[in-house]
Amino acid sequence: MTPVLERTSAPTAQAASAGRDRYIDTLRALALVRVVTYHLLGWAWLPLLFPSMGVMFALAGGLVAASLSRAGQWTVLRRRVRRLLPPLWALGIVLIPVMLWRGWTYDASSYEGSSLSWSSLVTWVLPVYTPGGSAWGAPFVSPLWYLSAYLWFLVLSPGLLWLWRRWPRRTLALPVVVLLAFGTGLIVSNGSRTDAVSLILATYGSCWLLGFAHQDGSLRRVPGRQALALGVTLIVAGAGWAHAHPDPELGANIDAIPVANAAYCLGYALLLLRFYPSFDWMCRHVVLDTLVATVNARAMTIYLWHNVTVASALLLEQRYAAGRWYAYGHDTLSHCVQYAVVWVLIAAILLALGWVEDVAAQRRARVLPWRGRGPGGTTPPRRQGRLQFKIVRRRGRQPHQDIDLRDGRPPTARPAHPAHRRAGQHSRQRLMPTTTPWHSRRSTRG
Amino acid sequence: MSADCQPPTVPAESPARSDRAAAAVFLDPSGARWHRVRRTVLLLLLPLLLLSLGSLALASTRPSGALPRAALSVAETGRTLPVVGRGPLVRVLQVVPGAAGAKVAIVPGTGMVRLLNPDEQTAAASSPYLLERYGYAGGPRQHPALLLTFDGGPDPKYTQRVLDVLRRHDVSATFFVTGQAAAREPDLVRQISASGHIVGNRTLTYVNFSNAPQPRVRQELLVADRALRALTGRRAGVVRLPYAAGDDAGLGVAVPAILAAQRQGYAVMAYDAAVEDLGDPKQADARALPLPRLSGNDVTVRLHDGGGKGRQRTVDYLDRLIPYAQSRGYVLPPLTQVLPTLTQAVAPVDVTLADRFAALWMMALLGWPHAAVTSLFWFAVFAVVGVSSMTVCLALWRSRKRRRLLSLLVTQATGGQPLSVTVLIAAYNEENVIARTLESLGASRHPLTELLVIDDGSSDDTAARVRAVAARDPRVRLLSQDNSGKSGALNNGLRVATGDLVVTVDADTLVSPDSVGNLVRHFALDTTGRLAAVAGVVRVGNRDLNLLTRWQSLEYLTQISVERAAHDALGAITIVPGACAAWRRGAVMSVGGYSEDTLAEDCDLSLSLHRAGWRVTQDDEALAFTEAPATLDDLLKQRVRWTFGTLQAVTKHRNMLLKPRHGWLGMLVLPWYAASLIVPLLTIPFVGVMGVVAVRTQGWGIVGVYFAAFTLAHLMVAATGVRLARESWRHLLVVPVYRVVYEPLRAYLLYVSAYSALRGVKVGWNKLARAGTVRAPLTAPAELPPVLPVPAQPPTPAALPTGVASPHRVIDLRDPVEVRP
Repeated sequence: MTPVLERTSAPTAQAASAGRDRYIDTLRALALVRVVTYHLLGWAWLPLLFPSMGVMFALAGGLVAASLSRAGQWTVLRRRVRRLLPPLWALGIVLIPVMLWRGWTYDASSYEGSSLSWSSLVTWVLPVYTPGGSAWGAPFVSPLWYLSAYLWFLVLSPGLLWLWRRWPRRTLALPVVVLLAFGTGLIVSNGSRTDAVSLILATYGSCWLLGFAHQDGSLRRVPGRQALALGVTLIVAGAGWAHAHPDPELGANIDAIPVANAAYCLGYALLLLRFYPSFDWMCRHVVLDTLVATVNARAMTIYLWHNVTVASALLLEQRYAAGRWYAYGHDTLSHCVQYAVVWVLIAAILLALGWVEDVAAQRRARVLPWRGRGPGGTTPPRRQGRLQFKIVRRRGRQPHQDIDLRDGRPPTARPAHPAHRRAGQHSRQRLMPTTTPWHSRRSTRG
Repeated sequence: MSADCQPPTVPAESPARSDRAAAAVFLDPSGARWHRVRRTVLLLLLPLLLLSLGSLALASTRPSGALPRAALSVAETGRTLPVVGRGPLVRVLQVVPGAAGAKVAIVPGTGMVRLLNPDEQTAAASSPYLLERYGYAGGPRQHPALLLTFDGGPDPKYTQRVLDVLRRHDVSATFFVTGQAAAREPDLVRQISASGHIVGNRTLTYVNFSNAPQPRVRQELLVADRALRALTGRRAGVVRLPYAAGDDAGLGVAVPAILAAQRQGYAVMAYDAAVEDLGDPKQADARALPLPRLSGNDVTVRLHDGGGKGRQRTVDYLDRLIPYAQSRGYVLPPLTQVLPTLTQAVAPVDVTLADRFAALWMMALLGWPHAAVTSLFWFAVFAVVGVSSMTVCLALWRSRKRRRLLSLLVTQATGGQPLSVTVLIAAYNEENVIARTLESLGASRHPLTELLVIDDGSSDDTAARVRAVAARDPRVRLLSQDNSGKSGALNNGLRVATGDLVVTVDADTLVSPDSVGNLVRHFALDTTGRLAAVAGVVRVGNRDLNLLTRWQSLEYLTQISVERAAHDALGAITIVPGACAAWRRGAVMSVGGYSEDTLAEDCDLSLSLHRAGWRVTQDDEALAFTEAPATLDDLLKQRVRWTFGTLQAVTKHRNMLLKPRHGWLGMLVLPWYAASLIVPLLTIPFVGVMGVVAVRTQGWGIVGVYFAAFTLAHLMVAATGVRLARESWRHLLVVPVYRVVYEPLRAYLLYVSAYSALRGVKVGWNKLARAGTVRAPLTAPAELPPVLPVPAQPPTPAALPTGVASPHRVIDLRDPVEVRP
């Protein structure tokens, strides 16, 4: 049962750096900052500058694939759902009573809010669809589509991964075909919630699979020129589609045009994950590094609450600042004030509710996420360097094998202590996509 | 052995490996056939594809006589607008400043200017666009008009009745038909038009224009227009929008849909009075429906001639409404008399080629599939429910008959001649399981002459494990050969075997102590000497591993076991499983032994025996427990081999099809097998698409009903299987998920097998790695003690073929040793 470890390739091995993949963390932090900025200012060129959602799904796809090749599917599902739900519940505990207090109205024809029904409330417990909100709460609830999409991707991932290993191209074609069926009008959405989720899954499905490709190393085997050509082609195709088929209301904003969005995001994420720069320099900038680490440790809270803070910032500015020192409007000064207020409010919410994420991940709850961390602003690293190892197992599958490569010893040499294992879980899950493409399925090779 | 058994004709030595490959069914190493197939398909498909695309493009071109198109989008107007004016027709107007501070409206696309009255001026002050209702000539008249409009049809039953009522009262109406309904009832649409009524456009497939992208909206309107032209000879330029209410509030929010139609140059028709005639006809009769308020103004009434649960209510209501309206001084004229603006929109036209193409496309996409699905549905009902019932009945009948037979067996067999039995195991890399298998066989209550293991060039420790058992059990012999496949190994074993009867057991299979005896007893009863093989019953020995093994366990009990029992009742067993079966050695030799033509060598051999006139039966108490693949990958490998092998075997023996000489096998079992391969092969993609369409248009209800029906049918088979096998009822817990696994698996296997067959590629043996997880209850639930109390007869040296007998009971065929005597 001894896994044979053979070092295959280590294109950017930096064994000395701390145990967190700063590139991935930076991408995720950038994505979050872009989302907050876009929802405040609404500039259509922001999604072109950095297509956040596609990048986030690609990163998440890689993480989940890595977990699945390490642990059994039920374990992975349980762990990840456990991390996903409590922050959502925290938002619901605050938001649902406020929506009820404001009077739960909705307008089905203009898609503002949904009816106050059990099915709406159940989606707050388990977001199989985007959780329902009133017309007043619609802007706060609208970003929650990400959670239901993530949940569905999680549930589908074991099957998708199996398909991906067997028929990568056909599997990649699956979301594209569904998306094109929607985009060309072969399928017309009947406005149902199932259709809404399907469209989202089809839009970001290829990004999720790109995460698989990144994780199993097949993306890195694509020659650089080909990857560059493919990525640029996809980006141009996405922008071209948006130009040719603008949304009747929002114009050529890729965010509103699924086909354009999918192509653009896929191309962008392809380039980001294929050309994988070293971010070790970040170790030397402690403030920046801690900031990025903090945003990552509180990513869920920031995402869930950002629209609440945006709305509050606008309200606060309108009431107290605008008209007093400057005219309220869309000028630069106004934007700057709003933007600053948004981040102050986010910081406040992180202090108040960020610990929920620690609880969800079964860590010790902390008010300040950078406290109690190692010098790099992380928990003590479990794995150093970005080494790629090929695990060749003789027979059978070991679902819960922990591999600790700090001293290069095979895992069986070190008896894995359960507590030790749990403690390391957090950092491992966050760094997963970059580090170890595992080829552990004997059956597909044999 | 009985005297009329043909002498064993030992086949020529197994051909060299290259020859063997050449003989395999479907094999096409040069790829010439595949090339030919591809060329033919391409030659046929390419023109068809070009023709389709060309005709579709032609069918979606803008027809003549359309209204001017409005170049407006929701981005400019917004999703909701104030509604002004009266009338059944609806359009979006643009407000522009006019003379003297007053505002005027222009009709987008036409440049027509319309003055606004004071109320409309007020509405226009707040919105740069207005939604206008228009159409009627202003003011009350002496003979106001009531326009009858019908949605939801045509319906084969009720539209006819509505037409009858209209004819009786000599009035006119407008019928808005969807393309999909028209495609199912094209003659009815023609009849509506021929009766002097107007046929309006209700889009091709009833999509919500608010959600549909522009190209789809265009197709929905244009193709439906053209197809209806081809059917009626008139334009269908007036549209009733799907999913749009007729009242002001409903229209106010339907702006995207109204604009979508306006942009394509179609007039949108709403209504003033909606009769709520849909709903349960049993709840209320037509008398309870209120009549519209008729105050002397023109009015447009909406009714349904199709949809819902029967439209007799509408027909009855119509019989009340028309006399009532006439008594109030109303006339019910054709649409164009009241709304002269629509004269162009429904004018007669010459039917063009593009119109005919559109009608053809409408029929091909929306009419014919409906008919095909109906017939496929009945085929599926027959295939699942009918055949299942028949199988169950046959299995039960056989079970009753067999009980009588067994009592006969006991009384007769006790005096029978002893038959010597050789157990034959072909082993390839079976080090994990071979010893257990041998031990389970060694414990057999029936005396065995020898236990012969053929090691097919294993690269692991199989031989050593066998030798270890042989050291304890003198009956065990080992035969080593170069790797040459299972058939080759078994043929060598057959040649070397000393017994009259050969029991084949797979290396991963455990048998109960009574199994061998139970298999062999049938030969004692066989007075004709035509019995060639007795199949055992294979069960899954590692059931409790996961869902996949549980699923397979149920499958072995039902699909395989009950089906084989039914086939046995017809004397038509197609597969005697190599995993546990007894064979008359002479009979097997007489048909040439195991063939290497196919991957399913047991199926091939069974069919060969049938063809040569031998008889095959099954013993229900001869149990064997096999190790079922526990991962999806392994299962797929195994099943590809099975399906492809069976396909090869049936193709090889295809001239047995429909030959009365071969009895039920030729007339029923094999033809049915061929049909159950070919029909799904051709229809699975179509059924899949139609299933998705059904779920999207009608919800999960109808699919749920089919699923429940098929699950019930399968529950019946499964319950029979469990009952006959005297197994635990908890097997039935898997029934609800059975089809969920089975249908995709079957689809995959069919296509992979058909593709491999066409390609002519070599499908590998794909042997599974054994884990040795079988946990078998090794006590058979046999009611009867094993018969044939034959004293153990150790093989005499004379009984062994000379030249290969060795004192160590180990034969090595790896060198080219001549094994024939």
